[in-house]
Amino acid sequence: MALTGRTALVALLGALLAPLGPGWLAGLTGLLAAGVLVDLALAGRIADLRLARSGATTTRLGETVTVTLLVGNAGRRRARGVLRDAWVPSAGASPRVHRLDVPAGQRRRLACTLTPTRRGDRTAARVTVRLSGPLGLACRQRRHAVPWSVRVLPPFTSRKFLPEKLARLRALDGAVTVTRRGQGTEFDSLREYVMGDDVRSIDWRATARRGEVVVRTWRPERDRRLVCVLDTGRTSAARVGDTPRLDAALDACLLLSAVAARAGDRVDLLAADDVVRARVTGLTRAEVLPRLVDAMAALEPTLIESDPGLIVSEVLRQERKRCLVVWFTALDAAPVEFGLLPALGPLTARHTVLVASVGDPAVSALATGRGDAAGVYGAAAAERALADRRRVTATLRRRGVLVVDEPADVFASRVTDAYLGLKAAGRL
Amino acid sequence: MTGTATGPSARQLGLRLRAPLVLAGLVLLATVLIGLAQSQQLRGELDPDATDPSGSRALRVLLEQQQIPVRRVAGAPEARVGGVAEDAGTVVLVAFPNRIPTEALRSIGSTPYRVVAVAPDAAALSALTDDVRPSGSAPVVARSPGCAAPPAVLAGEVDLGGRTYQAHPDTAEVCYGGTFTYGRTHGGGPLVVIGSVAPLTNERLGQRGNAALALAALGAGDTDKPAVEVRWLLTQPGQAGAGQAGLLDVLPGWVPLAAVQLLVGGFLVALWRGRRLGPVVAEPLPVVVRAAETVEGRSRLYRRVRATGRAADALRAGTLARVVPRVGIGVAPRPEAVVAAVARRAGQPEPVVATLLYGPPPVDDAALVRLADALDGLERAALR
Repeated sequence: MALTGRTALVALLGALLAPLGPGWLAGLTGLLAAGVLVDLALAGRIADLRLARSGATTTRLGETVTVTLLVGNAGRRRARGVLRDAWVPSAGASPRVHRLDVPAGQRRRLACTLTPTRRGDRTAARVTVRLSGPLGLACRQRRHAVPWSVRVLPPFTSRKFLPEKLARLRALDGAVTVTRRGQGTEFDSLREYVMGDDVRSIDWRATARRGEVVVRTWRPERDRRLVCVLDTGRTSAARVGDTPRLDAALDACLLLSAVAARAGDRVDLLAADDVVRARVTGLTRAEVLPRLVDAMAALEPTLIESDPGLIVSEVLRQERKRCLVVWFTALDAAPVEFGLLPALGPLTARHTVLVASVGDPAVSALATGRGDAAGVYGAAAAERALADRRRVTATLRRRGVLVVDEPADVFASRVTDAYLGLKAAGRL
Repeated sequence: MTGTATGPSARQLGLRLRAPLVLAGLVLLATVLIGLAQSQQLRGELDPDATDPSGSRALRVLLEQQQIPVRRVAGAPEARVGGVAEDAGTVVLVAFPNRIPTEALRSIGSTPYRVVAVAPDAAALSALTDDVRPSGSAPVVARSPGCAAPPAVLAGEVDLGGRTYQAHPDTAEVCYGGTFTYGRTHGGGPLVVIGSVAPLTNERLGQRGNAALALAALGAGDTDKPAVEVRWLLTQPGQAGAGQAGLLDVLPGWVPLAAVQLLVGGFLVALWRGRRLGPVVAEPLPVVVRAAETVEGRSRLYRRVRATGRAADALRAGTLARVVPRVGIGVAPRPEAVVAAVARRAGQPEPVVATLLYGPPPVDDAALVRLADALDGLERAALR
């Protein structure tokens, strides 16, 4: 039960009756108590309400969706009062409280708009109903469980790069045939030699037949394999600007997958720290983006040290054929030198490895600090961090690993560029 | 990135509570001001210790200069019993006779002491004497004696007014237009009735004959019975009534009842506001760790221990990493080769460049700042 402001107001105004004597006050209190009891008895029954939800189950981060709550009154009394449809705070539910007025035997639709502020599954908490009596002195209050969950997908803000990347892909594919041969390239056609063609691509047999110099052309490789490995360990929780490293990695992974799927390559996903958090394999071209986005939605950075050995063995087990492993992690000196590098051997032996890390513009900005002691010490610390990064990058490159270390705003674009570069060079 | 609060934010809450808070502040301020004003008043009028204009510390000082001690007494019994001499020379100054119960006044009036009463009303006066009666009131102005009583003759013109009194000429002397009367108490002691506090206050004691009149009224230098002690009867507000009348006795009977009802109402308000519409929804939040935090922490550590050497090494390493690839002398050159190449490219003398790139660590923060600027200059020149 719950009392209303009206009850309190009546009791407070009752103080004006005090000069008339205690009998009046006792009478007023008795009347008030009786009114409260009457209200409680005559208020609509909450157990008779039938609640059901419908509406959106997925949305992208930053967009707004509506979830509808259908309130049916199966009782004999009118249900009048307020209803709070509670969601977790990051679901951004509005309005907080609905007015409710459902005559007996009827139904009402309450719309709740959600503007989530975080990725992942945003769930509804209990629905609390408070029905007031005819006098407006007291209310019944009870909770209903009406479970619902909205999956908030990554925003994929790097979509803006997609047209440009696809244009580059088309330039690679078909329109411009390559004369260089790599694994997975297919023979396309024979054509006349022009100045600048690689002499190694001359087809001597055809040349002999035709009497003019003929070169073979190749279509870029297709049906290559690409594995996006997401490190969800503690280093992925660190924020660059206002977004965690993991979110920047997810964004880049989506752009890369979209381009790779268009190029005809197969995309797999593995997210792990010290256990495997998500694994997506065997996707057809059409379902790449929906399935990846769905798998990514629930990924959260965990505060544990990730296990590169586990990730390497999982990739090796999962991918029998040669593929490109794009490993999204952080180039912090200690985790790379003591975790990643010792475990990397078996992976580089069989696959092409690209390590992608989001650089922090704040460190570069700190490195330019001058003028006073605080600024110069900051610059020194930043230079130290940058030197560590250079050392780690150099070590990785010596081991035959490709490294992309770019700030967050162009990160997705640069990772995709690296992939396209490998594709153009026939190194996939 | 995330918000947890579903309810009003602190700002909204502040706006919502602004009016009640301002109101509460005003009420508090008014209470404090009224309290201050009242305590001022309590300390003030005719108090032998008060130094404000309406107090009477000046008179007390004058008396004590005349070797007459002033004793502050709070009640009639205290004023009456025990003294230096049983009847001779004890003076009782009744500052506010109207606030003292009649019986108490009568007990004072039945002693042989000299009694000085300031502006008593009819009831108080009849408890002290039968000789003098109140007759009316008059404004406080400068007045001349107009009688033969020794204090009045001595004092001459004084500031008097307030209540006026009349008396039979055989039994008492009426001076200053009835505002100063000289008679006898029931106990036969001399009685001085003054119509207003004016001549006794700090503010006016120094003017005209006020001080002389006050001293003479209190029996200082009296030929007949010189004063040896003044008992200054100043009643506290709590002792005004016959018993210990508290606040509850003064208030009407229904006020406690109304207070109880208000309490009940307040309790109901608390119940109304305290009942939440459903529980608070909890949610696990992501950690917020900025990627640059370790770098900033290291910079603060450097600064705290003044690690000029390490900081300089880091800055030099950064400059070398940017400059060396541009001068084209291989991957792991010796320092001498680097100095020579960089000096040539930057157009700066070799010893200067050598000190900059491989010199001793700076001695203090200022030297480190200068080194950083010099390295910047070298880098700009070399990368031009």
